[in-house]
Amino acid sequence: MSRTITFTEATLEAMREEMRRDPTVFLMGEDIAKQGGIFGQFRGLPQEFGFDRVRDTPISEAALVGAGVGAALTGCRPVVDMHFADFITCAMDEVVNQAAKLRYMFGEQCIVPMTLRAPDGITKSAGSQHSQALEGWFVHTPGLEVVIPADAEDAKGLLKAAIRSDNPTLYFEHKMLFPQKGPVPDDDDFVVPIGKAKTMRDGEDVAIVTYGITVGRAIEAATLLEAEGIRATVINLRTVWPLDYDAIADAVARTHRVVVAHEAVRVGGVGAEIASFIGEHCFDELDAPVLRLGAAHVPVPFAPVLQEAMYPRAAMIADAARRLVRRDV
Amino acid sequence: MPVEIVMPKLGLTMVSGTIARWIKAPGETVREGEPLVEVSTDKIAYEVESPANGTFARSLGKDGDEFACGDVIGYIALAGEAETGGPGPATASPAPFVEVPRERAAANGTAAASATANGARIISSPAARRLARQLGVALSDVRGTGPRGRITMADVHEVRHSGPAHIAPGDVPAASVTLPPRLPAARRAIYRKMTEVGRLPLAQVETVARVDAVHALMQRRGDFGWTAFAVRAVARLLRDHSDLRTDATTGAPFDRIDIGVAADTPHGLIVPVVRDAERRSLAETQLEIVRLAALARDGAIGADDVGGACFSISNVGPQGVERVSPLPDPPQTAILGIGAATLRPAVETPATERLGGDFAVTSSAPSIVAAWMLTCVVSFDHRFIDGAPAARFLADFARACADPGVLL
Repeated sequence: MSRTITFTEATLEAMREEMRRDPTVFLMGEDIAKQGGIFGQFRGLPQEFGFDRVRDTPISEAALVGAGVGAALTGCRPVVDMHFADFITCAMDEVVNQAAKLRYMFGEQCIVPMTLRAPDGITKSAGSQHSQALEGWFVHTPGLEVVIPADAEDAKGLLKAAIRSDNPTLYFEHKMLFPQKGPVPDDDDFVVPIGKAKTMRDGEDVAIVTYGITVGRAIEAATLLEAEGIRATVINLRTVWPLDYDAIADAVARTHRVVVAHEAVRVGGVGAEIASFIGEHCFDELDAPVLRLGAAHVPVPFAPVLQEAMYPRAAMIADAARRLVRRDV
Repeated sequence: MPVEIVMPKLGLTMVSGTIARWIKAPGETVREGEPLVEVSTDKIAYEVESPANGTFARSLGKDGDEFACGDVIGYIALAGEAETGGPGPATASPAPFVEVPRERAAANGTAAASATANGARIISSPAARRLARQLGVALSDVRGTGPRGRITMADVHEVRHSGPAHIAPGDVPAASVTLPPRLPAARRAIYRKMTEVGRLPLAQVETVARVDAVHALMQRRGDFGWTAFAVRAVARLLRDHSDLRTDATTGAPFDRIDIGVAADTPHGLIVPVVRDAERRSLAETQLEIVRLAALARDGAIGADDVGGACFSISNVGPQGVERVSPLPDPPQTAILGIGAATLRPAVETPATERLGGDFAVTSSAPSIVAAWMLTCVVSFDHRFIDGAPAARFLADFARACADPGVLL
């Protein structure tokens, strides 16, 4: 059985269930307790769990993440909110040099079971410094897990999985997804396993491999294509590190034509890793080059028209798939 | 042990050859070096000499059969050996001339070769190649419908269902043309090639060039003819007019300016090639054409002197005919045909600079004069070349005829 709730409510359910289940889980961030979070994603939590477990902090991402790493090393499971994913740059040393490394450097004598919640992505003219999708940096950093929910179900299941994970886990939640509604299973132990992709649609003509908000756009593209008689598989990766390479290889073997799409910058993005994996390991399955879609290699523009033109939307994904199926590329 | 007779590799681009005619019959005694079998490609005919003294024991193919370079086509039994000699299945050994191309070697023993009959690489998707291997379909029998003629999985399935179709653009399908049974061996290659060319969307542009200046120069110098002039002019022009030297197998221009020159010989049409034509002076071009024509006439032309041209020229001037409408020679996509330069009536409008001099033309009316004129036709494959670029090329050629100084 399932209920239809918003992405925001799904994350709140995940927080509530995990905080009830495990007293070491607590939350830190800027404007999360008194204000409830800028997207309302923490509303009601301090009332249930108190201001000790839902803490407002000063505006210092370095201090915030550093405190999270320390708490994690001493046995807690902190959830640290970055406010905007873009601000993670102020805590890069804590994330990349501390959180990612300690379990390895101390030979597993300690773990860093910290979750970083990072609202990301392009919204309505939020400008260059509040619109980025930065998951590629962290996929490139050994020692971190990176999960990116695409809908309410993922939002709940992946957040719970991130909190339960013994590794530092980045949870990139797209700002435009918060109000979107979707079904969520009626199971308070529902967890989406880290490292497992989900097939959202099945079709043998072309596969669209994607994650996060672009999953919805890919499904929309698949619907457009279906009207033209083109059947598309849509793979929602859910986790971008560790990647579900088996699911990618299966999709290539079924369709022989692949579009990889994400909202992050195309150059050097996660899509490049996926496309090269396919080139190296699925070469004989390919009937056409892998097409990669991502944001243009420019800072996200403020101007609405430019902003809308710079990242892969449903029509662009459908167009890429169409070109593959019609053998234009 | 019987000695193998092998299909020779006569040039870098040769992948296979056809047995045109067995000169010796099984059971005949042969001496080493004696002509044994005549083989032909789409470009030349060649006599294969016996590799040993002995008895021509067995042929593995009859006239008209095609073999890959390096394949065994028969055996010579040495003294004391059974005349039916030779192991059961044919085993490939290296061709005596040049190495077997990599693609061919990789595909050896499988149904999917990845080079066309003229040696161009077949572009195919990895999945299509694997499918072709699994289904036993030869890629050379598949027409690619993807970009640049790439063979996709759907194209392989198509062949499976409908039988071999035609192949990559600009290529000559050996298997898909049924030859008339009594066609002389020497005409087989051209029969196949022209059957193929007949399917191309060809278009033409034509002009009549004033060639008084070239004619005068030719009279004065006496060291070049019309073909040499055309080769020289075309070689210069093709550097800029790269459309006119498009390679049908790739869709991109050929790099080298090698010009084919159609030659009428006792053995039929042969198209020797003036290599690196743009680097040769007019006189050098003439000498090269004379050398090639002599070799072609004597049937002594080698594989290095045919094939690989980016453009060809056909001159019917020596036959005294004024106009020829030639056909391109794939994978080339254009050809220039010129006829005999003759004195013809030309309408001349007075040039302005003449009006001011001592010999001022007082009448401003156009007049009819006798002028040396040359009819020029460019035929081209419209899939690759449009009318306007072909016309610009031809107009530039006509300008070079009127003012040959720039070529010298």
